[in-house]
Amino acid sequence: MADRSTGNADHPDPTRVVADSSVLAADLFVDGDARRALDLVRSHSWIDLVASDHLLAATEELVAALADPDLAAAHRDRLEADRVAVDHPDDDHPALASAYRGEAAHLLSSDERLNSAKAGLSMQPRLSISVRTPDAFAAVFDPEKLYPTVEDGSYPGPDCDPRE
Amino acid sequence: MPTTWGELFDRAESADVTLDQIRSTAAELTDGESASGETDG
Repeated sequence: MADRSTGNADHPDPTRVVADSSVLAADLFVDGDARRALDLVRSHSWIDLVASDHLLAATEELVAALADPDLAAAHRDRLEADRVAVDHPDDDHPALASAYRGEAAHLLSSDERLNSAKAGLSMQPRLSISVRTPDAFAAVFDPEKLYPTVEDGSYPGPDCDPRE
Repeated sequence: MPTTWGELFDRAESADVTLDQIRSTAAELTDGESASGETDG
């Protein structure tokens, strides 16, 4: 996927979203908050999911442990096709580092420790990332409001089928 | 071509995985990696 981020070191990109491995797995397995949140991303071509290889590997390991390796591999393939890829050191937290390296404004996680984990990154961040649970993100993230700030014209509505 | 999200959701549904299982398994994997890292280090 092409890098068309409008983010930089001081201002993260509001159209970029990272989900941690538990949220990505919850999206896959449970028709609930995580899927509602990530459907917002899948439904809009101008909203990007950012993920490192480390994050995809952690998600594949989790899905394989919960179900089977074939489903985990198919899920990873799909995430690889959809994501904006970023890289980070092995020791960094995969989701947090994906957000910082990808200049994403949103990090979906149910892990409240992530805010304090920022200090553990190899790259000391200046970015202001919003760490939210999937239900909180789905409640406040409004593509219609965001659209005029990042694209020309008025909001055309969802332009992708989130099940394709 | 990657599998569609709809097909992935259908396949995953049959596994009947709950949010509690996801949280506990994720915690186990994280704890395992932390322990491994401590051993390595």
